[in-house]
Amino acid sequence: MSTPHQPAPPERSGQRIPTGLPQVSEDPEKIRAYLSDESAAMHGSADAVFFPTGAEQVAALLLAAQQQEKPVTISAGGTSITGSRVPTGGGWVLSVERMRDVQPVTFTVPEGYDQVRHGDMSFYLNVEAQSAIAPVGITLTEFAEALARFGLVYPPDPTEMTALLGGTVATNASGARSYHYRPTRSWVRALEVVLPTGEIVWLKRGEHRAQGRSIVFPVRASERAAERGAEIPPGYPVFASKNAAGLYLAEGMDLVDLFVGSEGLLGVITAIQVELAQVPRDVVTTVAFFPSVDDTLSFVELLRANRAETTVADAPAAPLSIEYFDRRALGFMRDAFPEIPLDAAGAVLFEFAYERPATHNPYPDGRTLRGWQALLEKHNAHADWSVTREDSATIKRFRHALPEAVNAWVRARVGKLGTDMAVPPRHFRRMLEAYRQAEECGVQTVCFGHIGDCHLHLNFLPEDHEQLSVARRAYRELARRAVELGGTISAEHGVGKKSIEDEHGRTVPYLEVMLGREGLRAIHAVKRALDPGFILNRGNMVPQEYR
Amino acid sequence: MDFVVLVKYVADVERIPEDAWDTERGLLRRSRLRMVANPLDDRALRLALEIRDSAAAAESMTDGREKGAGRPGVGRGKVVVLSMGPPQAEEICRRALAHGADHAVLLSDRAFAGADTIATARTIAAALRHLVADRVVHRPLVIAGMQSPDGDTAQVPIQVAALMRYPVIPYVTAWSAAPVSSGTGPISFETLQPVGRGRLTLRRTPALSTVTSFLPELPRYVSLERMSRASAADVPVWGREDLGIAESQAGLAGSRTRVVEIFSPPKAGRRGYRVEFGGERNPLEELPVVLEQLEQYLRTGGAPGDSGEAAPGTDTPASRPDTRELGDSPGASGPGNAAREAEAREGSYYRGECVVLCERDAGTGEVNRCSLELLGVVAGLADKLSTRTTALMPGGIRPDERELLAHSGADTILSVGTEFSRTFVPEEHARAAAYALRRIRSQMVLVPATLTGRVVAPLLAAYLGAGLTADCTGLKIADYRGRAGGRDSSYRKVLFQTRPALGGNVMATIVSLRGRENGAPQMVSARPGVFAPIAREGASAVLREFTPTGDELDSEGSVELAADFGEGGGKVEPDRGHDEAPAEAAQPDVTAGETGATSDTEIPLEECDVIVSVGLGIGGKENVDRLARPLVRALKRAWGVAVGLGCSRAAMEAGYLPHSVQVGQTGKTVRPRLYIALGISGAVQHRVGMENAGRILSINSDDEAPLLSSSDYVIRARCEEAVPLLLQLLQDGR
Repeated sequence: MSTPHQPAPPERSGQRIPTGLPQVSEDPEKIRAYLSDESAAMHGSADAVFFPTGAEQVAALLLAAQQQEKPVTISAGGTSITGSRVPTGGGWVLSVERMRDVQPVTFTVPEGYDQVRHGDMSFYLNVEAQSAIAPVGITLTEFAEALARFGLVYPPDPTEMTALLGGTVATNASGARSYHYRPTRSWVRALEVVLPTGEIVWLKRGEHRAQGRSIVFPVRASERAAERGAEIPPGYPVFASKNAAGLYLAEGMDLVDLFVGSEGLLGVITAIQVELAQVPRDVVTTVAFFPSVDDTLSFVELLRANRAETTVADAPAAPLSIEYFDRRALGFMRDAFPEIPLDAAGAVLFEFAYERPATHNPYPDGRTLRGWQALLEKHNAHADWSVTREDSATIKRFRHALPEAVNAWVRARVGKLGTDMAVPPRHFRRMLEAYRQAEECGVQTVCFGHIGDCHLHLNFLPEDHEQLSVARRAYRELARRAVELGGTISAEHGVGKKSIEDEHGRTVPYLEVMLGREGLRAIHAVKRALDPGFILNRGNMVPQEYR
Repeated sequence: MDFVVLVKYVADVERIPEDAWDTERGLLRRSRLRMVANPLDDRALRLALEIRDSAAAAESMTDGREKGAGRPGVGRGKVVVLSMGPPQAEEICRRALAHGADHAVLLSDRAFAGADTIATARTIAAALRHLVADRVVHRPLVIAGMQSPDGDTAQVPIQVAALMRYPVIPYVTAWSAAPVSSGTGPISFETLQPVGRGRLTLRRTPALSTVTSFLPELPRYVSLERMSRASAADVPVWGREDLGIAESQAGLAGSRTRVVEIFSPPKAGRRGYRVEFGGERNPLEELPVVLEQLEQYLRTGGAPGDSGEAAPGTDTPASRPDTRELGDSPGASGPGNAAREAEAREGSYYRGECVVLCERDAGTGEVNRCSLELLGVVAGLADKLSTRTTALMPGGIRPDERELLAHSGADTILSVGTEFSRTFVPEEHARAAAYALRRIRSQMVLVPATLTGRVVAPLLAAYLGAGLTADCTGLKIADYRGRAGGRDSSYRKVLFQTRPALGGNVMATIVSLRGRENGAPQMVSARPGVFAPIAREGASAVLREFTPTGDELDSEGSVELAADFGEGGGKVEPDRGHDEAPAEAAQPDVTAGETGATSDTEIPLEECDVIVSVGLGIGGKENVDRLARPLVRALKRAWGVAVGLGCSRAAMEAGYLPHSVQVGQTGKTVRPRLYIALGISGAVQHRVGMENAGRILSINSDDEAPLLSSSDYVIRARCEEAVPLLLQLLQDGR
């Protein structure tokens, strides 16, 4: 049962006194749903869960939290696997799930945008400009359904479509089609953010940039604005490719980019302006099975080259996505799809858009199809399964078959350890060699993922705790190798509250492997500037006390 | 063996896009719906491909012939897909080719627009005859889904069989071929029976079978090579003239029924009536009210028009159905105009008795409740028409049943002394009914829309040349003024038949007009529980008995082809194969639910009127047996409707029930009239699978469960508290 709860209103003179704290629940049963995430690896505790409906309620809540020195952990869809929404330090949970309408506070909805209602949520849409201003508490599925009516799509397509839009921006989420469309970051035009001190800002891409290496925040209550700057340390890595590890910090950077992928460290995102794209009308998805890893790789490399140059003679089109499943992964999927060829060493799933040869012919023209066929034959593919959009549900089932089978397997054992590393294409074969060595560590593994982006997930599936520590060592070695090859330790999952043992057996933040102490101190400094009380999302990326 | 698979191009009513609703007029815009191949027809295609390929394999093994590859037509049968629809339906034809069909033909012509089930069946039958005459197929097995999700009438395949005189194998759930030394043995089909499963062996084609969702789905993927062949293939389009069908026999002109009005069902928001346990009011006083209201709702079909009295409101937005008015109709001879007008002035357009085709419960052998419900509604209609109510009992009647039928509204009882096979053979039932109906004058025939009735009714309608409206929820007598045969006419006291369509998203009111020209009655079917039985204490009924011979019965199954094709149509020879007794009912092998799991799914969950669904909040796996299953049985008994058992994903994952009955995004989408959620919190993934239920009753102690806000009735209690009380109430005198 929920009871009304009113924390004492803050009474700081000269400051706007917040009114209207959001709805709250202190029912332990209710709270329990917010104490863990999809990984179920960490559990936290909380006194209450708040359900703000707009930026002003968020601001009021954060001010109250400052007053009472309560840590606040932001929760969106709870689909993270890094513990980023787990309130390990207790305090309050701020759930964004009821922010389902845009309530413009610091911005006015530009002309040309019309309100679109979809079920009990709404957002603003400009069809012509292919842009929307959306609330954060809507699922990607809902957003996609609503946009489909206008022939539009929000291109980042994380696999987990029950994730909330706000969560996906806070983690710079990506998915299969990020190969073609790039991760979330590329699609965010503007953000409404409530800073930990209660100020609400509207950050529009192009309007606020870092001055060289120094960041100055545009805040409304500006008396302390001067002290709220931060310096980007030299040597802080900037990734051209997919990355979700650490804050984005670069010379002359746009402030929007600071908040995309910030894992809730710097503020609460309450509204998002995104760019949209036209739905590719027709798409074929193909799963091709290959007899050897080498055939698989040379096929993928050819497709990748095709994206870069668009003139590779024998590739018929540039795919939207390229995904990989290794032999062991296929073994797990065979329960759901017994027809998977037994001698397949790996499979590649790719999608390509096409124009119909005639209005009522749902398939690509013969030339395109024969082109793909020839390409597959050249790389000795055994079999291929293809569907058009009408039958894409099957492919969805195919994609889900692996996590489902692996999760069922893991549930009976001691958990899994999954990598999320990506490296530049020129080093991909080297990274694969590292994976191959890791697979020899004696622990069962499966390997799959976004091979187009040189981003695979090698999952260790240990039988017992002894194997788990073997896997941990192998994992650390892989992370080290990825960094060595100029890659990232997390291309899409984010780092959340993940930690790792360093070579001396000490537990350090996972991010330290990649950014080193210097990098973490930089993140710490930016965090301090915006959140002096360290109330927001404690424990993500960098611990409260970090030297 | 050759196969013809009938594939319908249908609106995907399970996923209706928001913008398909014209909110101002409250209507569904058909043009905005996503169009797909009927999912059950997909399973039919898979069945055909499986049998074809297994036969090919067997033959090539025994003949030592090379595998069929590259030598089409050698050593294996062909699968031909027939689809009737707009030009866009070419998409599903090509899709079938990509999946392995050998040929696809699209039946498309503006002249086919507005066809009702019999006009559609006639068009498909004409195409079938062409395929046979052109030797594209030889003695085919025709396969189709048992129904489609849009019209949901389940009539067309059955009527195609009637017109072709192919025996029907309804509701196939599995198949097997007995291995025989030379080639494949006869194919044996497991079929749904009113109780358990039966087995029918196909000794000789041609025949027609309909398939259920128990058969496996079509694998959705194909090879790029097949896709490329399907993309390049020729898909012929056959029109009315190609098929030699007279204009008067095609499309709207050839239809026996006419849509009078389309309106949207009253979309009241969920009412959220709450019963609190441990509150001020006594739940024992409120629960009976809930049960009563729900029963009342089920009885009235959840739509305007109850007991044949209340009419669909005239203020609801109306639209002209389909394409065009009935054109000149040279085939419409029948009574002379003068006589027709004279009749219109005096009495009803149709004349004769009002008949209910009664049915026995396969389990108990008693006259089933739905038959009595229909007698009740017909008695009211017959009074208005000043005519008699007749209970038609194929299979004969026991002396003690006379009183029951009389008290339920029958003035006359027609008993047809025939023996039926233990396994359901639809023709036996339809022929017995046709025999009696040809010997009396009837103006309407009502059939229970049960598992068996939904096959018998379309067969009988085809035999009699009658129009048929399935699953009516409202019936009333009114005058119809409209154009027919190119002129305005008034049809006095005809039956206005209201039924849900497009998955319950629209309501349609329909009249049968042209049937009378063949002396055929108006025919409708209604689902169990839609109407309420009546009790006429002390009433008695006259008994008439028929005892036809076997030959007499056989001749009842013939269809008047001349009448169906009219003068304009080419004379087409029916396939001769039929009179060699193509299919035989083998030894009935009826097995009633072997395990708990199968008995829960005797009929597909999607077909149930009521679904009791289990969530983790039921309080332990043992409560599925202690609470949920007893509730299913009690509701079946008390209300006489089809009740199924479903579950949430969480309950499935906890091993309470199998995935086959899981409701929701990753399970089934259901639209029962009543959904009872036992301890289901109702995440959005669950709600999308059941939110179109007519009524939702939630029993849950968690006040914050999202499902509660979208429920019509909420019982705020633990299932252990509430369900036993409901069971008791259902048992006590209900």
